[in-house]
Amino acid sequence: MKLAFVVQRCGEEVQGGAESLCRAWAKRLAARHEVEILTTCALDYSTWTDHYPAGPATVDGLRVTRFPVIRARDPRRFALYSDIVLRDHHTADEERAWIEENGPVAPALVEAVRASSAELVLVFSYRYWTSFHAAGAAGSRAVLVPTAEDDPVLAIGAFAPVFRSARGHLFLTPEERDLVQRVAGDGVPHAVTGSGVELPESAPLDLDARFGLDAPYVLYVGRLDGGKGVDVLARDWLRFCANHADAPVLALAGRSHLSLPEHPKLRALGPVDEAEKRALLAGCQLFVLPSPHESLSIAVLEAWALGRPVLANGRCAVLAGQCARSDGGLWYEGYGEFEQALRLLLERADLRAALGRQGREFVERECAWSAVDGRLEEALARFAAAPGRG
Amino acid sequence: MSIEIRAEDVNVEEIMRQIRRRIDEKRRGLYSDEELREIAEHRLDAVLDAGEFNPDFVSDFRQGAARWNYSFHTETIYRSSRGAVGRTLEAIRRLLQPVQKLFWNPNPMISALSRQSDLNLYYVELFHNLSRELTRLNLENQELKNRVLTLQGRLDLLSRREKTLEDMVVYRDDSGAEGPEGAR
Repeated sequence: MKLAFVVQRCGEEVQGGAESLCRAWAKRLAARHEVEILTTCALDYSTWTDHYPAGPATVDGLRVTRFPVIRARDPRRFALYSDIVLRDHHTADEERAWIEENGPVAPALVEAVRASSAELVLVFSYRYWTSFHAAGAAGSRAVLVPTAEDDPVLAIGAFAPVFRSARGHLFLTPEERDLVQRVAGDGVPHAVTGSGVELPESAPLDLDARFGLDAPYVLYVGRLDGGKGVDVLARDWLRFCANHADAPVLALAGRSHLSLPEHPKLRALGPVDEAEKRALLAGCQLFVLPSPHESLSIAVLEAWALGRPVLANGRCAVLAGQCARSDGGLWYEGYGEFEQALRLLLERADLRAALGRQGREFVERECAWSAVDGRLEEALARFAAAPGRG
Repeated sequence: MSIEIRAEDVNVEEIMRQIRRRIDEKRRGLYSDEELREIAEHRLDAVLDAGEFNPDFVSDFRQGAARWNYSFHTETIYRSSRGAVGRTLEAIRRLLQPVQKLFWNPNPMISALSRQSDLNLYYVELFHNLSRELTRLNLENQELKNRVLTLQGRLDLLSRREKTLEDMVVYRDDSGAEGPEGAR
């Protein structure tokens, strides 16, 4: 089958979740299908300015074609329309304007999708200009991979027809499926494929020498910003430390977009590479994920793959669902539950070991690439055979 | 921590249930100093929740007045509850009433207790009416606070929009040259 993938950014340096997922799926499917990735020249999602040269390229052995972004994102205009569309009464025109301001605006990419001879066009991340217009241009060939989170963007009315007119939907979790079907109905063929994760071999690394971590620690890996709930986590952690003098260090690995309080039990490690991330995950007592909005957390799957238990924000239905299905972690809603769950996990090494083991078994059972490949192939074959919806 | 877990085959939903039960129990009595401070600082606006207000309270109370109040009149202090023996006892007490009055006057006590019984009924009605009025005022207050919050939110939104729009304005003079904003 000839497959086209549409994603807002694609490159070795691109770290985003949907972008990584797109590359991983494309790589897997390229073994059996003719695959091409259509994307923009952007690298920085906050401005969408062109970084890569336009035209064909090869990323990770995959055929990638990049198209220029004709207008950089103006953060003030985007903030203005976000205020209007996400927090106020608004019109359909304002929703369209929000999509324009969100970007990345790459009309040549949309033309390429229209001209593409791919049987199915897999469009990643419903919220961007590229996906909104590429799904329209692909028509009945569009297969949406929404990577939807429970946030106000999902309520934007302009996206509902895009969801409804797709040939099929591929979801990462049952919770994501429920979210999307709440706004778009359940009339579109769909599959919950999940995402595969490599069962990593953690290379030994001297964490004391590299990060100054010479004692047990709890780990968070990801972007350090308010949207990921890291500010609330830091506040809760310091409150926990005030009541429990023996609390371990909370190590926060990732690029920081907020100023964290100075405290000996709170350590920002800065950005880390894959090897460092795996060594940190392998060495932690438990992995904590405070994000209230996730469509799937690869970091959680990686922690489980390394046999580490997870403590996640239960206000994110996806994370609570992942923990409940795997029996690999606990979750919390509010400080009271955070404190109780964290105390229990820190006090009980046998519980941590059991949760880590169950998490690993879940990853081996559900998230091994062989299992995900099978679900993906079955879904794509079903969508290809289904009549186009137009 | 009193949470029972067998670590061989862990059911996280069961652990979460135990954690929540533990928190509920804690809320019922075992507060830390910090939590007590928080509670002390908490406003008491939830005390009179309209949903908890019982409009039939007074009529229920009146119907069952014998359960909580006492009735008192001049004969009450001479009564006995011992059946036939009691009736004999009551008759003897009545016979000795004039003698007893040589030692003390029970009338002020009888009058005070009788009056107190009436006052109890009156207070029940008064407190009920006060609670109802407070609940109504509480609801009205909540409504007004919500309106203030909504209006404040809209004001903030409009102020932000105004600021953003001002920042985006590009001034041009008649010849088409850009003014200070565009010159940046």
